[in-house]
Order: sequence, then C-alpha cells, then structure tokens
Amino acid sequence: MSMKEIVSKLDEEAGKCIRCGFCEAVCPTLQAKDYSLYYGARGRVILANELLGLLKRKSNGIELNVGNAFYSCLECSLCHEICPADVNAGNVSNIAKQLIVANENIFETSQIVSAAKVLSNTIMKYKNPLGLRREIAEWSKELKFDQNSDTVLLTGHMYQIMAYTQGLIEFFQKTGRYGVLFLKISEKVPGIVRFSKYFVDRDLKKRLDACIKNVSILLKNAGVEFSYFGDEPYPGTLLYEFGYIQEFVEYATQVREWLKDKNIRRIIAIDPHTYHILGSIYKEYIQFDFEVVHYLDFLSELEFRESEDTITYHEPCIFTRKKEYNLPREILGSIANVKYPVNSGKNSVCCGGPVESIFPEISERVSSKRYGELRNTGARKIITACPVCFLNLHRQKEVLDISEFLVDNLAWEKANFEQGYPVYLI
Amino acid sequence: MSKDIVEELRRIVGDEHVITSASEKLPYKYDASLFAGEIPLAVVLPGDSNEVSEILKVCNENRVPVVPRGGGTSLTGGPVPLANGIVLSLSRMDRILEVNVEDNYALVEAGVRLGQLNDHLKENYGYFFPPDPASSVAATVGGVIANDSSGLTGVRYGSVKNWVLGLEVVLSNGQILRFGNKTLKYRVGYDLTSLIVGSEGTLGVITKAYLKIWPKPEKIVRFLIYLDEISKVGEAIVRLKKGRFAPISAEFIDKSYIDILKKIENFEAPDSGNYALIIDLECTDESVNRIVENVLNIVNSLNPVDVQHSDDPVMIEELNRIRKGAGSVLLHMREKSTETTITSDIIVPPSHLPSFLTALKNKIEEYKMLAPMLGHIGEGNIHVDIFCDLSDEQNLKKAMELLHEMGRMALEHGGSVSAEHGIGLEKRDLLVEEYRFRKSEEAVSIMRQIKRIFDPNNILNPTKVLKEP
Ligand SMILES: C[C@@H](O)C(=O)O
Repeated sequence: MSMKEIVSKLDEEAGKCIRCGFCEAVCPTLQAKDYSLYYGARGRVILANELLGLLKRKSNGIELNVGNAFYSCLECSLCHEICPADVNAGNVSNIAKQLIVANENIFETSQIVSAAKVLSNTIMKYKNPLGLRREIAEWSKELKFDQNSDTVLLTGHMYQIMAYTQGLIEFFQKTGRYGVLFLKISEKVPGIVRFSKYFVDRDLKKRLDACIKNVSILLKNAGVEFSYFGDEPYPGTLLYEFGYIQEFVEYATQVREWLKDKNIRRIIAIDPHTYHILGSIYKEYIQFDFEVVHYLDFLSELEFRESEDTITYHEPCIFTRKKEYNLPREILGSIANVKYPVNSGKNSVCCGGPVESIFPEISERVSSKRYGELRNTGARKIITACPVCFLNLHRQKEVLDISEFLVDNLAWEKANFEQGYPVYLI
Repeated sequence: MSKDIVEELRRIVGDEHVITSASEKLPYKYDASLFAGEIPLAVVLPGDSNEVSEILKVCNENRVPVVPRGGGTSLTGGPVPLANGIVLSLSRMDRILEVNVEDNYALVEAGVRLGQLNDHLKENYGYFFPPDPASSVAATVGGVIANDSSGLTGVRYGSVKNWVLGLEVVLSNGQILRFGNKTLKYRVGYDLTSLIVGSEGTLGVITKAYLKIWPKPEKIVRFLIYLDEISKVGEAIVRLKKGRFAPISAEFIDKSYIDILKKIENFEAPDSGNYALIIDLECTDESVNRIVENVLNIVNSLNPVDVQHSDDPVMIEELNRIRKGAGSVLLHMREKSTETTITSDIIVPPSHLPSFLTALKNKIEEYKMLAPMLGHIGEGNIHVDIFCDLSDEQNLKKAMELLHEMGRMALEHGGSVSAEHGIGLEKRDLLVEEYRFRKSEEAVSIMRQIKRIFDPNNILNPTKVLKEP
C-alpha cells in the first residue's frame, strides 16, 4: 500500500470524528492510564488528525510523538460501538501504525516502535514472533492426522506462544535498560530472539498444549477429518497489528503458497485472532480463496452433559464486535447456566491482552478490571474462548479455556483410543 | 519559573499525574465544540480535594490560569486550555461515595460520569438522577453542574440546578468550602450553591456534590409522531400542555436529521414526515391505555403523517441512544472534513413555538445555509446546527451571524440566547446582548464583581463566560 493510500484511509476514518467524547467513557486504556487523554480513544483520533495536518504541511521532522498512543490501543473496537459518528478509533490506531512504520525516518520513534520492529523481523525470518519452531507442534506428538485431507487445522501458534510471554515480559521489566540494549542488538541480530524459548512457563505450556489437543479430540469425536502439519506457519497477525503492512502482504502470500502446496481447501482455526486474520483480513490484501472456519462450527452433533455449574463467559472482542460469532454463547448456554457480566455481548470489555507484550502495565489494569466484572457475576467458572484472554484473565484456577470445559462435559460412558485420541462412546 | 511550578505540581499529585510532554497534552486542546485551545503548560490530574486545593494555591500564588475539565463534552469551548495555564482534569475523582434513598441523595465526586452514576442508581436502587444531557455517557457530574446542563428531560425535571443540594468547592486561593447541605430544603443566607451551578469553572472548582435522586418512573410510554409542517410541531406541544399532560421528555428532529438517521442508524420513518416528535409520558400498567387514547386524540387533531407508540423499554432505550448521538451523526452530511457545526441553544416559551419555529425556518432559508434543527421542544429549547467551513473565514463569519440573529429572535419572542450549553467562548457577546435587551446591563457588571470576589487574580477559567474580568 502506498503512503498516499494509507493517508487517505486514515483521513477517511479519523475525519468523521467530531470529538463528542462519548468513546472516552468506554475506552479501557484511558482508565488504565489514569485518564491521560493521549491513551484514550478520542485522544488517538485527535492525534491522527493532527498528524494528517502536519503531513500535509511538511514531509520531515514531525515533532509529534504518537507511537505510544497508537501502539497502546487494544483495537478492541468498544469505542466504535458507542460512537455516533461511526468512527473506530481502533482502526485509526491500526492505520496510524502503518503510517508510522512507512515513515520511520520522519517520526520520533519510541522504544515501543523498536520492540514492534524486532517482533516483525523475527516473524519474517522464523515464521513465528519468538523464533519458536519445534515447540509449536509438541502438543501433537501422540496424535495422528488425516494428512491427505484438504481440511487443515491451523493453530496459528497462539496457544503455544502464550506460555512464553509472561517470562519475557518479566525479563524486560526487570532488566530495564538492558531490555533496550537487547532490543537494539536484536534489530541487528534477530537470531537473539530465539533465546525466548528459555522463558517458557512449563506448567502453562502443558495446559495450553492440552487445550489444542482438546480441540483435536472434539473434532475427531465430531467425525471431522483434518490434517495437521508441524511446520504450519504463524499467520502474521502481529505484522498486521503493528502496522507492518508491506511485510504482512509478503508474509501472507507465503502462507497462501504453503497452503496451496499442501492442496488445502479449508482451514480450521482454533482462536479468534487467527480466525479473523485468515477469514477477513487476508482477503483485504491478497487473493485468498480458502474457506476459513472455526472448530466450534463442527460440534453441533456432539452430546454434552448438562453441567451443574454456573459459569460466566468472557467473550473475545473479535467474536462480539468484528466477526459477530455467537456460537460459543449458544453452545455454553446449552450446557450450563451462563451468567453474563455487566458488560457483555456487543459491549463486552477487552481482557487487555493485545498490548501485553508492549504495555504490560496497561494490560494488567485492564485485565484486573475485567476479571472483577467476571467475578462479580458470582459464577464458579470463567470460560474464555481465546488464548490471549485466557492468559490475561487466568489469575485463579477457575478460569478455563472453552475447549477444557467442553471436553470435561462431553457425554460418554466408555472411551476407545484411536490414532492416539480417546473416542468416546455414548 | 514555569519549571518550578511544574515541579510543585508534581510534588502534589505525583509525577505520573502531571502531563508535560507536548504530544500528550495535545488532545486536551479540544472539547466537543469547534474551538481549539492552546497547548497548556501542563495537565494535572489530582486524586482528591486536598490535592485540588494545593494545586490552586500554587497557581494562585503564581498567577497561573487554571482550566477545569470534566468529560470534555462542552459545546461552547468552556474547557479548552490557555497557553500559559494548566488544565485541571477531575477525571480521576470518579467515586460514588454514598447513596441514600431515604434521604434522596447521592454524594459523588466531580469526575463521575452521569452514565456511570445512573447505571449504578438504577441497577442497585431503582433510583435515578433525572437531568439527561445528550452527552450523558461521557459528561461528568462536575461538568454538568458547572454548565447547569439539562437535556432530554428538562421539560419535566428542569436543569441540574434543581437537583443539586450541596457542593464542595475549592476556591481560587485553595480554600475548601461547603455550600448548601444534603437536606432537601436549605434556606441559610444567599444561595451560593446556585451561584456555583452554571459558573463554568470561573468561580471555583467543584470537587464533590450532594445530588438529589428520585425513584425511576414505574413505566414510560413513548409516542413517535411524524408531522408535515413545522408549526404543527409547536402546536402539538401547546395542545398537549392544554390537555394537562406533562411529558418526561418531548424532543423533535427535522427532516435532515430524519434522513441522516435513516441512512446511518437504520432509523425507520415514513417519507413524508418532515418532522418527528418523540414524546415520553410517565404512566402505570393501569393507566397506560387511557393515556395512550387521550394523547392519540390530541395528536390526531393535527393530521399527523404517522403516529406510533410503545412502552417497550428496550426500544425506548435504543431510540434514546440514536437521539443522543444525532448531533454527531449529522456530520455525515458534510462535504469536507474542515466543515463542522455551530450549535445554537436558544429557548422560547413553548406557547411561542408555532410562530417562532416558522420564523426560524424562514430565517435559515434567508441565509441559505445548511442548518438542521432538533431540540428539547417541550420546554421550547431548540438547537440549530449551522454547518460551516472552518477553512473559510467568510463562511464562518456568516454562520456566527446567523447564530447571533437566532439569539436575537429568541429574545424578541420572550426567550433566551442560551438554555443549557452555557456561554464558554462562544456566546460571550450574546450574553451581554441579552442583558442589554432586557435593559439590565448592570447585571453583567454585578457578575464581574462576583467574579472578583471569588477569584481576585482571575486564574479560574479566564476569558470564559465574560471576556474581560
Ligand atoms: C446538542 C445537544 O444538546 C443535543 O441535545 O443533542
């Protein structure tokens, strides 16, 4: 995309704002940053418009440090829900990041922007944001797949990555300026990022790997044939979210070729981010004719026991506001008594996860608040349907991934093992 | 010197609550009006009244202007900053401290948003704080008191001043004073509480308020009435009042609004309805049918294009959301992003509406400007949104002229130039004009004297309301 196109996209989105300020009442990062408007939805739109004005007047030496404003946005789109003028400050942030990336030389860059750059370099090189390889497929060790099927399971690496982020963040927080040094080195030597694998939380990895395994078990029991490949690529979500559009397009094209090579027709995604990027975003940038489905789409034939538990369901922002994917609501509602928190459905509040790697303190405050809302329902279990939400909300044992809850409640009397899976007989 | 002041402010509220970087201060330049302020010296976010007091002491001693800010939803430029001053954001003071339904009050901090307060009151007590500006989701208690806001329910509940029992106010010299009380009646000397209400941050900084709260109506029935002629809009209000109806809310929107809401919000409306009236009446399960029948009789006497009614709270809430966002949705009509609207805020006695609305319509046609109308018609409060191009000085001047012209027309019909949005930067001349019209210019000089008593060094939101101290 050319600079001109980015500018006109930004103008189109941000130009609709009349600054009524309604969005400030809901923007989670504004509150998390003690109401500094720079970290809120309206502030971001104002800054974007200011940026556009400056760009029109001059082409270098822009003395507006906007990196943190846009990179701290969760892109949760709650602001869009409340905006009478149909502005999505999340989109504004996303496009503004593209502008920053495409104009590295004219903006004052912050540390955040270099962190984003390191991640994007790593993705381009290793096809994973942390340089993980072998670790991605570990969950599948004992399982067999239908490798000739034209339906493929793509984990999108999301569940796997979550076992490493906490350790890395703590490292950066503890090391302070060494963190900066690390970033500087890794800009030059991306390989250094592969050390991230030593930051794994082993228990968490076991649990998250088990979630992916659960997904396979559910699919198998629903009679779905699918393939899985240990060298599956990461879908490039962060490239897109951090504004590296040129890289993203190049990367997405490689993913498409990989899929073509394997004669894939249909992709099963297991988390909202992968589901969204492959199902909606890829198409905006490249020719991408694969059918993208979510694993929950296949479970209608499965029988579940009715659970005694009262549960609450934390809806991922992508499901409520971007994809309008309400199947998890329906499935959970058919199994258990679901109590929704004050802010739910279209108004559900983000877990804080999307900025965890670059603004951990914002993330932490957003997630604590959301966790409180979920706790206030009085439900005994909190169900999540996204590994990012899971990681950010799992303060206590009562937080479960939806795959865990579903497998726990599958109706069965006896199980046979086939291809490494328990196949349940009712 | 300014460096030392910033250091002092940091000491008072902590480093993280003083914003000094140019980029981070930039969003404070604006409110919801067309005015852009200047980049302030700093933005300070205190956590309690004592911190507010300390801040004011420092600013008063050093003659640093202080611009208080709540939700930043003002339509007249009240909270836009001055270059050599600070912005005092009350956002962090967002606690609901006490709710007491036996005594009909809630004690809240200034930064609480009205939406937040009403959610809390409705969910936990079945009570509410009745004034309901269109900006209620984001507007703060301190902001609506400083502006004496009202909005959609003004016809029944009046404005904020009817719902403030007592205030904690920090004066320009840092003194923390309490005006009024939490009791439902209070008659002790001059009414300083009312003086602060509507003072737009120029007399003191509101930090806490005892607000009067009320049980929610048991049931509401809403009428949506489409009319073909503007005089009938006024006539409908007059006839309903003669029929002894006291609506909770009586709103109207014109054809431009109807069309843009149809397009953007999937609002459904008949094509020939040039005006839509939205009227809410309080009722009970027992009385609803009788009220509907009587209202329909009155309304049908005007040959409406269409009439609908509903008592479904979900539908009522949804239409409220659409109505409250209407001013923003309207901007979809602009042709360039440099265009914006100036919102007039005139009010006339409702009995004048049939003739006044017609005259207003003619005036707008005479100016050949795009200027859709909506308003709180039950109390005669009309907002005309005049489109103007900020990049075209001539056009802006013409829009301002029309704004003033409409103010004068309101005066001639026994009304006023400002009903609920306040004066801010926008209507300072109109304020003087109104008192001159009433042959009471002396009132403005009394205001100046009051300002001098409260704020001898003119540090509190200077240049707002009154141009000169
Ligand atoms: C303009 C604002 O007061 C409204 O009523 O929508």
